[in-house]
Amino acid sequence: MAVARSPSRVRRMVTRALQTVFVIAIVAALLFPIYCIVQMCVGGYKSIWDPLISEFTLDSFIAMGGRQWATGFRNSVIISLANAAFCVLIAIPAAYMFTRVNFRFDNHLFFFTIMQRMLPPGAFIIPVFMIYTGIGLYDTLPGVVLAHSIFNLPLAVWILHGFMKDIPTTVDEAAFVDGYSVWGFWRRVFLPLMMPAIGVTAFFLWMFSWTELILANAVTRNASYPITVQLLLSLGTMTTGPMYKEAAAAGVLSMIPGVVVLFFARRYIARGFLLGGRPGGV
Amino acid sequence: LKVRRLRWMKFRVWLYLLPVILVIIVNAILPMVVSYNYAALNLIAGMEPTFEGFGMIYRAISDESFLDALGRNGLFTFLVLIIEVPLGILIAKAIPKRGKLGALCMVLIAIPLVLPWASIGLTWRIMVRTGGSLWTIFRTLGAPYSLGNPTHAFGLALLCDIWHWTPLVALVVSAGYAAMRTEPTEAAMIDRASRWAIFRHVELPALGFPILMAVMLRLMDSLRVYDEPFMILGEGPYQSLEFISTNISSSLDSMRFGYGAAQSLIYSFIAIMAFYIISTVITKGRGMK
Repeated sequence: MAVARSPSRVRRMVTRALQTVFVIAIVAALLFPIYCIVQMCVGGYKSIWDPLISEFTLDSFIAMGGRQWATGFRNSVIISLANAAFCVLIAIPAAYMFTRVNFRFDNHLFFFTIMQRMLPPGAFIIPVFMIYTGIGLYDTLPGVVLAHSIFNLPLAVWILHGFMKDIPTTVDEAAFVDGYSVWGFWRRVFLPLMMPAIGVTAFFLWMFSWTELILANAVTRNASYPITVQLLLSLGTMTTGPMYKEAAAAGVLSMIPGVVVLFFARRYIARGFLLGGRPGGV
Repeated sequence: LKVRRLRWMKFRVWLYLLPVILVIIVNAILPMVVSYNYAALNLIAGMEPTFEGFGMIYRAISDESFLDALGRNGLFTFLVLIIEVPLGILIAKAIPKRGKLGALCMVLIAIPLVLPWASIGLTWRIMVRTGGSLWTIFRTLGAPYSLGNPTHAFGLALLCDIWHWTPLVALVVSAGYAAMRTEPTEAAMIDRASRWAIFRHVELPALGFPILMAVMLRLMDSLRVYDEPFMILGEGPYQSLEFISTNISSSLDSMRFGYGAAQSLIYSFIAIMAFYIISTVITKGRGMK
């Protein structure tokens, strides 16, 4: 028996080793540009690419002070959080109705909602600028939040719909038979059940809103620039060395909230899929 | 009483949907109406608009650069999907599923996702500059990167997209793996099923929703790709990076608003059709809902 098993053990060890090498290679490849940007902001001024960072300086972070980066950061944090909250909040009831009730045009409305995400951002620049100026949302934080829901709201409805589909309607019926009011049902039964899925959705919404550039650029002028637009502006004047180092420093700093959120969201993401996607499958 | 209840139910449906519908009206329907109005006019900033009816749309259809952009975007989307989805699944399968190491791997892999797109553009732009890191690597490999070569530019945009978005596929699919029950896999292993058979017949069906989600996200976003290629190289040498979005916004930049609007109408139509066909195929005709 032991003789018969040994080749398979060797094979398993080889597979294991290959797997480890693969993972290390992938992580290294993914982190390489990140390393480049870090090197760009702490490295010296002599050459663009200096793999070993022979000259270490924090000048670029110091140079950031006094400019508008801090405002950009604050705006970005507010916009991305508000956008995730707003989209989730209005998408939950809509997704609920899409999964629970058949009504006239439901399929068409659902398709139309999702389809919005496919429209090219370039096509929105002019109309959104005009409409938001008309309703007084141009260059305000709520304006950017609303503009980001162009591509985030369809996503929210779609993901939440995907998860809710797998919660059987018997849950609702049992709750109402047990005498829960509509509000009580949402608060005590449905939302707690959906919490991991809401976490997943909110993470994705936050991610897209945190990084988005084009629409934010289209609806802001000065007061409510998020960090991405600040970066874009600094690229425009990137001809001088110190300026791009400053932009790199801002890029590095803007990565930090992302990593923090990622760290905490990771667990939620896995639990969210425990709910949907029919685990086990067979 | 039953009729009244039914009516209340119907009212409640629309009440629940109302916020979403309001946002859609402001964010999608109004812009479409504005675009439609523009599309019928030959509207160039600073000039008297003339009414053209369907003339602008006809002009856009017969415009070679627009058709090129469409074809290029189609190719880009196709390559993105066939490279990123299998690679992402492979990564998700290879990384440790549990424990501190798994958590660390996941966070490291997902970092490109939370980087603002502008700084991604900045990074890659500097990486391929003469003397930059990627430029050095390509030269060492004996395949020097040339800024003026359209194929190189396209390849670079593709590489950047793969770097940026494969982690999304890996993140979603690995979450699916973490949520998967282990008994079916173990049972299949006891039955001495091959690795491939286990993956194909046990794991893949269980990963249905995460994979569908990843494919849909990549499909939708690669069709509207704009930021990264544009931030790295502008339109690229010889328009080699002119995708649909870039094409439309370059019309807007040159103040040909009517023409840009006509282009975006055509594109929206094509996008709707493509999305409809692909989603029907993926969901085997059951519809998205």
